[in-house]
Amino acid sequence: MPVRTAWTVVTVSSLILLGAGQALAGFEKVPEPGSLSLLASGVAVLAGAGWWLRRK
Amino acid sequence: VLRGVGVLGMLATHIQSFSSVAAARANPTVLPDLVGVDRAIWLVGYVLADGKFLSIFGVLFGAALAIGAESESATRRHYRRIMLLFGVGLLHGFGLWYGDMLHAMAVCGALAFLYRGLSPGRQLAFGLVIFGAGSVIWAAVSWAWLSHPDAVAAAQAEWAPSAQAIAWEVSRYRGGWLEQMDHRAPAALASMTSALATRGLWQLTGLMLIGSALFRLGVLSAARSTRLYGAMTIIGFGAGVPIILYGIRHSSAHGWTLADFTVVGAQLNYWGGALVSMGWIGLAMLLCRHGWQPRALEAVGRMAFTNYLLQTVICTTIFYGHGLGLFGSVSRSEQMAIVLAIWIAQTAGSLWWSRVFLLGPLEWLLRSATQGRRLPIWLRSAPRPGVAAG
Repeated sequence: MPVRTAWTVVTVSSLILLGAGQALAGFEKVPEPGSLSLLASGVAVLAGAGWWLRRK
Repeated sequence: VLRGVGVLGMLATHIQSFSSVAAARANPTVLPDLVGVDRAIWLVGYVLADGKFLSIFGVLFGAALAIGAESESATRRHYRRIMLLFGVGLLHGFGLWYGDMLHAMAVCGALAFLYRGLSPGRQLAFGLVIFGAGSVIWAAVSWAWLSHPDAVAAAQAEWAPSAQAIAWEVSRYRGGWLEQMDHRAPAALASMTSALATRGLWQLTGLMLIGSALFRLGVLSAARSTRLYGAMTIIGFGAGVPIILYGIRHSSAHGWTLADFTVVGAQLNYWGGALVSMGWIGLAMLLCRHGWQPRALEAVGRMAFTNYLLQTVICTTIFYGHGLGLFGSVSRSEQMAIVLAIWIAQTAGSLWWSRVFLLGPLEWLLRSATQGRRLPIWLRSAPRPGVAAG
């Protein structure tokens, strides 16, 4: 696996886990300002899917 | 033309947030004087305008993505433009008005760009999936949130603020720029983080992919059959309006509580709103096919970025304390009179500008900054660039 691909997979996976972790740990905080990790997670999901589809 | 319709239509909705407390835009029970003509104005705005023109902008942003070349330099230019747009969005959101949409357009535009190599059919399919994911995520977050009574009570207090809370918000915006920050900064942060994560990200990215596919299929260039646009108009309005009206009826029957609205009303407005947006696009294309080419709307649309930010400057000057300080004192019908005046001023101004200059002032600044060189702005100095969708 090329280094760039590995970094992309690691970054996207970490962000998804981070967001999912926050969502599970404190759902009551989600409607409040500052759920940056949830946002990062969503961005990572969409970016990862787009990147994967283009590679296919 | 569509961009012109979008930017002018948006003001009819945004004027509520510029001129009154934030909660009053979606919750008609916040202000006690919402009766008669004022209630009718809110109802028509909520059903036909609120969020619908933002969706049209998402679709048009996607169409613009489809025009871009596949080269490395085009990619670099796109992301430079996105970064600049995001920067302007941050300044706009935190510095003037918390309802900024540029930051969301920038984030979603960066993501949608990654899907540009797909066929129109696949873009359409993924666009619908991503748009649908927004609804599923919203439902999941809502259900989980409902199991935390303290969080629900706190959010309900913001959704239906007390007279004291309303007076505080009014006092902030009637104050100076720094006093306004007490409300604007947290509201902008919420809009740029949690609201974007749970909804806007999926909604706009999905719509951009749909827009890119529709543009490539010729739907946004009035190049398809009258029958198709007729169907878009009839199905869009015919299905979307009853869905949103049912949501309003349901929310009224349940006392407009946030817990109920989040689960039912917001979802119905999400799907119904997308249909109404398609109805607007179908109607505009239908009219274009029958020779409707209003130069005024074209001119407004060609400088949509300038006109959008100009609306904020005008409205914050009218309503906020650093200007006339009319925040919280203008009825819905008076708001519409102000909207009409701004529409006339922007249409006349855009028409005049387009006769003299190639690009709107902020469009020129953004494009020059993106390309790293000073582009010609005078109409006589260079040929007119091609016009994008609509």
